[in-house]
Amino acid sequence: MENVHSLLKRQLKKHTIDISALPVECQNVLATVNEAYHNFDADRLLLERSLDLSSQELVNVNSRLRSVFQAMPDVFLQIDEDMNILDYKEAAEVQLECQGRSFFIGKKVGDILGDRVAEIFKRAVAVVQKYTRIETVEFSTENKGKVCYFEARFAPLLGRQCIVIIRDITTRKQVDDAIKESEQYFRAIIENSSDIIVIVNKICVITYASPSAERYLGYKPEELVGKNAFSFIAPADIPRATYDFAKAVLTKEVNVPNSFRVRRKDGSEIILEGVGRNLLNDPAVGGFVMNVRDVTERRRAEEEIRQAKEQAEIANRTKSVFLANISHELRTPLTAVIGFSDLLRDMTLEDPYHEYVDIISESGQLLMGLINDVLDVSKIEAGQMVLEEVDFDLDMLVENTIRLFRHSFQRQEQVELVYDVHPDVPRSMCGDPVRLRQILTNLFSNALKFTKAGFVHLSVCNASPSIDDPVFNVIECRFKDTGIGITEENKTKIFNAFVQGDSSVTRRYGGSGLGLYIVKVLVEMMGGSITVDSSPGHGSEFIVTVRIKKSKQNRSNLVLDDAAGMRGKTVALVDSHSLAVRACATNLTRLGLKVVSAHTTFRDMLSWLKSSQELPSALFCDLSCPDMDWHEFLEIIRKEERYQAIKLFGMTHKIMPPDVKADEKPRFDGFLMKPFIRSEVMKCMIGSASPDAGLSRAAAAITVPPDEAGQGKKLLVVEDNPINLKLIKIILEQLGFIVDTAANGAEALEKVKGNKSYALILMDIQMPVMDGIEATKRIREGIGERIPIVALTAAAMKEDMEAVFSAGMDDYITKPVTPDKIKAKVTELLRSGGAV
Amino acid sequence: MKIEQSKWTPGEGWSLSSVLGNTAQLVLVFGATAALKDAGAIEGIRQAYPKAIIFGCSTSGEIRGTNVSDDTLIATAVNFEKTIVKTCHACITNIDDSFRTGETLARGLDTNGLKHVLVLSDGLLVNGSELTRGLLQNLPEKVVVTGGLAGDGSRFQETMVFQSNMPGKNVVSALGFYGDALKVGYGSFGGWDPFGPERLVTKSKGNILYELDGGSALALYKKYLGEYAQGLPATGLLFPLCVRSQDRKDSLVRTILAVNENEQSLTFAGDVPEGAFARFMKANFDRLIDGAMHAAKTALKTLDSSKPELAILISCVGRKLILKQRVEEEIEGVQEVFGRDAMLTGFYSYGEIAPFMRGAPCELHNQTMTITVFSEG
Repeated sequence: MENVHSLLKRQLKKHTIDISALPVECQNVLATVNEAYHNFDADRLLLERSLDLSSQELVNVNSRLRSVFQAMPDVFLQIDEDMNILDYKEAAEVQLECQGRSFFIGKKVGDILGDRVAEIFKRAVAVVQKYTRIETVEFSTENKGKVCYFEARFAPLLGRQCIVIIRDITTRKQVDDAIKESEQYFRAIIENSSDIIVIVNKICVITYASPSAERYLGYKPEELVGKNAFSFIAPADIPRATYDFAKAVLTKEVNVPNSFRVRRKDGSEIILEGVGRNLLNDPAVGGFVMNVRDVTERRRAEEEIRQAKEQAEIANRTKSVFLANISHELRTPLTAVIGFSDLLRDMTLEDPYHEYVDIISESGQLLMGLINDVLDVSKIEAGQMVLEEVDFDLDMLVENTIRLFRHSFQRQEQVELVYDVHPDVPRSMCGDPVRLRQILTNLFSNALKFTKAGFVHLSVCNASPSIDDPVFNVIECRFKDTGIGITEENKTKIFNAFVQGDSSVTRRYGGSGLGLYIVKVLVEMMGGSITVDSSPGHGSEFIVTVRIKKSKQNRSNLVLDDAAGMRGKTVALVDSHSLAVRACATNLTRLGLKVVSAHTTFRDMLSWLKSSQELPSALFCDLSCPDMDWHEFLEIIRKEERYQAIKLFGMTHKIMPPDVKADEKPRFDGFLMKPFIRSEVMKCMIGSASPDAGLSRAAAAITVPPDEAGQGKKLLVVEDNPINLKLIKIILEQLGFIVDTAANGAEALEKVKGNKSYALILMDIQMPVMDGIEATKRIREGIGERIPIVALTAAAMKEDMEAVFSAGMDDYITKPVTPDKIKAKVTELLRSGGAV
Repeated sequence: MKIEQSKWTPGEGWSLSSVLGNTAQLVLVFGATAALKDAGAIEGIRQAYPKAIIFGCSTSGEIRGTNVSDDTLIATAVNFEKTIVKTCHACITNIDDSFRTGETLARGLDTNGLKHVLVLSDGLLVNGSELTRGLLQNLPEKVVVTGGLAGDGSRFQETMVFQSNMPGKNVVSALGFYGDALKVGYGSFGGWDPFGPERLVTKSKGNILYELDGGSALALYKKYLGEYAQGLPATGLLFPLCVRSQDRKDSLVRTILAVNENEQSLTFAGDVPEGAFARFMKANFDRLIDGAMHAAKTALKTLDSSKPELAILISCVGRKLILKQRVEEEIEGVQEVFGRDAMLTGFYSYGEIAPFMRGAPCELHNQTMTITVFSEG
């Protein structure tokens, strides 16, 4: 027998049995036994290994479970269906009432967590047992007023037991509550918002509508949700809204302003306006949030305001146009009144007719001033006030202004008119001389109006901050008077339109109250300012600064030009008025003269002369010096052999000293009207000296006798207004011209065709049948292209001037025409060789 | 009911004592695959019982009385007094057709007066669970099915089932019993004990198991079998699986029919569904023998105090592998319950089909002693 089992060997040995000696039957039995022993061993081995392996598996499972248990932030309870706690695993994160394994094990759930919780557990265990699934419940415990929330998960175990995993969810609950609260908070804000908040999805179906929608649209939110937003938009606005929406979706633009009309439930329409926020890609919203509000009323109000404003603007424009028209209409006859009264004034009339004419003339001037003021204000208000830029002579401008007012001051002997222009003030500038002169005129007439005694003093000086400024001069003009003065309160008021210091002033002094307003606007347009320094009873000082461009043409040598003949000559001066004596000295200095002595009394002058080694070439004497009769002074000078070389010039407020007899005239070398002006001084100085080759044209022009200008030349005046036509005709005839007339452009054309001998044509612009521009063009195209044509125009606007010059005109005269203007322009043009 | 038994051995041939002859309506033949292929042996039976239906299959061991033999043929001829038997068969070529084959078979039976169905199936090409379901769904509700899967020793290579009185491959046959006089008792019991951890079936398809607890099931088997792993699939019978579905309290026992090393899979005689829990089982001689007696007692109880005349014992090959020399003890246990007058026959199988007890659904079992007992008295 082979492979005898060791146990069988042992047994055979013990009984000293030799197998081979046994009968065959016994050997077969022993072989079977041997096999059974081996089988038994094999079976045992198999089972033992199985036991070892499954033990090891259980060890692994156990250790894994233990790790899982320990790592879990949960309490584990093992319970049976009778709520007996069989096992417990604590967790620091879960604060049940009592801690400790020994405390739990052997107790019932109710003992620890209370009957209420035990009941919940019981139900959960029943569910778990019945359906063998995991069941989750929540419960809370209260300990010393502190409520804690827990989540318990029940999992089935064998033997009708359960494992309960308890997690503290207090924090999560609190967060949930906070979120819920916060959500309620924001929901409340949204739902109470006066705006309508609507959320639509990417195909524009409404997914949310705030309750405010009902207030404005009449639809409850639930009636809106689920519908397409376009079904509420007014049909006319759908294409635009569709475009806006599609664009917003495609471009992913975040903020999309929108405005559209919406049909309310009752069929009426309202306008909604707001901003859509594209939050389609925001997972929290996934829609297009439209925040819109009802702007129907606002739009209506805006429309009303807009219409009202438009109407007001139309009305205002109409008013301005009307004012401009009416002013123009008023000026035309007034021009005639002034023009003809000026013609009368130049005639020698018997008293009191001379005075009557003066009154007519001055009233006319006053009226013209008022009309001009009104016209200016309407221009300002219509935004049509534009400044020109032309080269001009500041000295001429100032002196022309002075010349204008000398006549007025002539009658107010109590008031001394004084002006001076400082030598450093540039003479040539580029700006709007008409408006600058208007500023001076207005301030002068104002000062004159309110000053009954004392003086009015204009002082012009250079206030440029830096001489290096290549573009601008800053000129300061001070108007000081000894008038009634202005109260502090009125200082700001006086610059407003239609306002004077106070209404009593208007009553007492008259005036439109527009003058200072216009001045202020003009000054500011010139980049300057106007201030006033004054107190009631102590006079006023208006300080004007303006920025005026430097002349492009370097004409700073004008001074040299026209005053060359008297440059460096010495003069002496006596003027009773201390202010005037200084001003005169300044002005004479500016003329290039050397003022060697200036006094306020004849006696002082006499004593100076007596003591003076070098005598002046000329002596300017104010005839009104009170310390001595000027006749007496003249007598003394003329008698003294030593003084014979001195030219003597009398200065007086009158045009002609009343008591100067014709035969006495030679005793003075000349008379000057106070305050004297440049051309008069030059006339005196140069006229009395030998004529100088350096005389300027301007200076010479003054010296030419007016009557000689015409010399029988033939002129054509074209003017539709017969009175104006007559006035111009008379003026020109007085100048010695032969005057032909035409009532419109067409007539003028005929006249020119028939007679080519006109030396000059004066042409009105606005005329019936054919206007001046058209007529000029025709003349230039045709035969009379060489004849100088001067426009007569009411407006001196830049664009008007361009039209005038582009039509081929040579120059222009602004209306109203005055004898002076016509004389100056016509003589200048003819002299310059315009008509050869 | 008159019954007589004969034995055929390769060396001695038949020892036929043909008394019943033409009166036998049924001959139950169980034998080794090789023996069934012996044309002479089969012809011998047909000549002895020319009018009988020959019904049987290949085995992993034949039962004749209290003896268990291998490589033999055991023929049991029966002459029923009142009962009529009819047979039908179906072929199966693909394990996926198991359910359909069950259906075909059931439809082939005359259900009029049908009392009981005995089913024998090819032991390797079938999913016994599906086959049983297919059968039951197409039979009258009261009809009980018992039977088993043919065996092939511990070779698992070729099994045969009788069809039209000749053994054939890929065959499933049914035998219908008709008549009110016949009483049929049945019982099935294992006696195995589960051990070790319960494992979750994480990957399976029908009766093919791939993974337990996410790991290879085949590897696990090899680990537990150690040197016996070489003997797979037969040695797999040492560790049947106790399979418990999640939604069921009771469990079924499953044994391995085949191993696929390429797929790392194990094919079982019945379903091992995913999500079910499985445990290894171990055997104890006494518990197995007690189990067989328990099955006999259950069968006797369902027979309603009638005297058992013929008992067909279908026991699992796994039990034989464990019991070895003591295998006849479980047969002796059954005889102890039924008494010496009951004629015992049967075979060691690759699977058993029966309800656990009366009223329970018929199912495929493994590792059990399944007994069907008849009486006409």
